Amino acid sequence: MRAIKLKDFLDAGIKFKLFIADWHAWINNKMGGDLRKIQQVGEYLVEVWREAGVDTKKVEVVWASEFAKDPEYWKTVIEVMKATTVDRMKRAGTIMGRKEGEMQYSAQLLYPAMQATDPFFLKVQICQLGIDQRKAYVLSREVGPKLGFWKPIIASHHLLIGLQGPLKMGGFEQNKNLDTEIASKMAKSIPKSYISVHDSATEIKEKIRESFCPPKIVEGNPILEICKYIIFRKVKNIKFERPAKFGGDITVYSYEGLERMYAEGNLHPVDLKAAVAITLDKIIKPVREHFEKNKKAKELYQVVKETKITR
Amino acid sequence: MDIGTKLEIIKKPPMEEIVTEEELRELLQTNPHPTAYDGFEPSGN
Repeated sequence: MRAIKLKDFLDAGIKFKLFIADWHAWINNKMGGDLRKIQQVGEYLVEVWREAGVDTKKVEVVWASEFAKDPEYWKTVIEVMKATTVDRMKRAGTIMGRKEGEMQYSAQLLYPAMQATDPFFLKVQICQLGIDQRKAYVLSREVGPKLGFWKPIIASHHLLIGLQGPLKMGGFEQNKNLDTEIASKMAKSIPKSYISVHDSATEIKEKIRESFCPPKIVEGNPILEICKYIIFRKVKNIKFERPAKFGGDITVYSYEGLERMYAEGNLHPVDLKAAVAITLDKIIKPVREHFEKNKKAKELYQVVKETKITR
Repeated sequence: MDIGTKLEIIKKPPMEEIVTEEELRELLQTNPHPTAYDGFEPSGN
């Protein structure tokens, strides 16, 4: 989905950088805090992006470890921290997937300050991240001009809802809708919530089948979100195959048409799921096969598979 | 490509919120090719 958005920016003539926040991941205790492993996962992710259609010749890849070598970067991070209260920094920890009150180690206080600093060292005017990251850039916008930098524009993309459906957790954002969106997103730490580019056709079918998808309900429906944010951005239509007594075969050419049909009860969740599983598999297949067949990609994925997910 | 079209493309789903659209419009008026970024923590399979 992010690859789709990235391509939109390139199409609009906007240059794009992909930032691999390896140091941030280390501070946030990912991959058991092993920086080398984190960097290997970073290389794997660049490969995934490439296979998902990102033209890596047009996109500049930047690693956080490059900034970490620069005293000017740390000077700016400190300046951001000097301009921000401890409480504010703790609240901004939600960008790390930590709810307010969940921050335990003082190193984690560096993270929001680093992320707020990143746009200035990346020299970007637009921050295009998930909507759960906006707090970092609200900080950039406030502090940046005081430090002689610009006010970056925050262009936030939707967070795909996890297959389990809406979860009301609280503790991420004050706005309830936004809070639910963040709490409910697809997350690697919740295995059944997401579809991976490595999932087989069978696994995709299973996950979709078990997914939350109440009849006629559009809001918070993971299967419809997949149609809106991914499928209809990649293919021109979806074909639903149904026995004649359930309406017969039908092809839908727009998300709006699909949503209307579903809301009116003219498409059953079972039929929706069946078609989505097949279509999604078609979209994912080239990426999956690249990691099965290409030697370097296979090795990178192997490293990732062997490491535990940590928070 | 005119600014209106660029904005249309940028605003396509999954774009959810732009802070602020006015600033983005102004940016595109003065700079036809600004730079954007997306970042991520490498965090497992």
